[in-house]
Amino acid sequence: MRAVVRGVLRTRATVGPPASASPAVSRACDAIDGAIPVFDLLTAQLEDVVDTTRQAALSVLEGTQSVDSAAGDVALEAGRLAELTSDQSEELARIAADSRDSIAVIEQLLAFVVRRDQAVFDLVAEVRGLQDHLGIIQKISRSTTTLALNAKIEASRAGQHGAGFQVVAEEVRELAHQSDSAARDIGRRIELLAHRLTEAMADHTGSDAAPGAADTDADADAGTDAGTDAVLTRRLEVVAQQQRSLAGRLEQFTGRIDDTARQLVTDSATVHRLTTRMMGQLQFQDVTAQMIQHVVGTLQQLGTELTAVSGVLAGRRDIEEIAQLESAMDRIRDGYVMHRQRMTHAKVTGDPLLTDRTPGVELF
Amino acid sequence: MTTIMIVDDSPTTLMSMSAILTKDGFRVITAVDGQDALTKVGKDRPDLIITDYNMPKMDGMVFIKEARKVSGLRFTPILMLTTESDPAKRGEAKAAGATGWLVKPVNPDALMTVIRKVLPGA
Repeated sequence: MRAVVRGVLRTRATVGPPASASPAVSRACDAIDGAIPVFDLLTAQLEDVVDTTRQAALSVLEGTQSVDSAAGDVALEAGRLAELTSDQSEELARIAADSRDSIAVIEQLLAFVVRRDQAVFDLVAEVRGLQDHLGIIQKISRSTTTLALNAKIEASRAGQHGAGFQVVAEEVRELAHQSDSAARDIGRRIELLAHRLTEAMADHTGSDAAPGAADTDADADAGTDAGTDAVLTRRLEVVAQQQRSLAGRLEQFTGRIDDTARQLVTDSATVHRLTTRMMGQLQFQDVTAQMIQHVVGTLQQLGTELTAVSGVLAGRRDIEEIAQLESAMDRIRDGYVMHRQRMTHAKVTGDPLLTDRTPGVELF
Repeated sequence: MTTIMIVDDSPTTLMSMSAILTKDGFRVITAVDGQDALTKVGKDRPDLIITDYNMPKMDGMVFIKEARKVSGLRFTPILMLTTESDPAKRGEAKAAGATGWLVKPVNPDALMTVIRKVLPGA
């Protein structure tokens, strides 16, 4: 376009009024000659507008491509994160399944322990029940001792004839004494056995639960038969509950990461769509450049024709050379390529506004 | 990979169209006018050509006529992407062998729809 401007400037170099021209004509020629550089200036300014908008459009395009590229990177990373999360989810799901298996084992163990404890407590009760039987044995021993003593007295009364019977009475008394001693010994052993069984079932650790468990009764219960059972049961329940909680939290955590990764992919796709639309809108620069170029071409034409007018006034050119100027509006209208240009023309000239019925996209 | 040639003297249009089409997975080659395009299609046969109308050296209409003489381009879809909206010129382009007419600025989604219509496998 600049080459065209330079060409126009060259054609105007010979402009100027003749020496014989009237003062009015001379002044008109000077005015026209003075106005002609304005066309050149406007042309240059409009070319600069085109260059500036082109640079701006290209900068915007470059920026948009950078944003799009960054969004693409984000989408890629989000995709990787989603894959990673998916892999981890499977692994965590396996862990959760293992935890559930562990919970089942713990629950079986819990049931077993409760049954075993009950069996032991029943055994302790049975053993303590033997004490009653020992009491009967001791009562029999005491009765036997009394009987032996009476027998011994009766044997003494019998004199020489009761000597043999006295030996038997003495043996019976000794037997009763041994029975009583054995019963006492068995009683002590039974008590010791019951005590040992109770001790074996008792909790001696001083705490009843894993960290985080809320059980304030545990310490108070520890060391008693009923408390021992409750403490152990609660411990196992707390462990099972913690396992369930852990598995649930793991599933929630991986679910949230997965959701976030999917949202990132969706957002990146939105950015991609928007940047594509923005790139498409940059065609405005090409459209406006063509509109401005049409204005520039018209200005150049007018400059050339005004030069001709000056030439006619100066007597150096034929009057027919400016005939085209009279149809300038028609020539401008014929040079339009866009419906928008035609609409602007019609608004200025008062011509009827025509609706563009041609589709923006047409396949033949 | 589907190759699309963009022919336009506007750097803005060349770059924006290239970016849009590349993003959608097409391979893009560019030419600044009809003459440049005719030189390049000999080396790199495109599956689709999108050309401007008003260009220096050789405009879009002449380019389409010349391209249709090249044996390998006889049935290649050629779309005219231009600011021109004159119905007479559309008719002229159709007669010259153009496949379709798109008025600038064209919406990228609309452009993709047209491309998928003229290149069903793309």
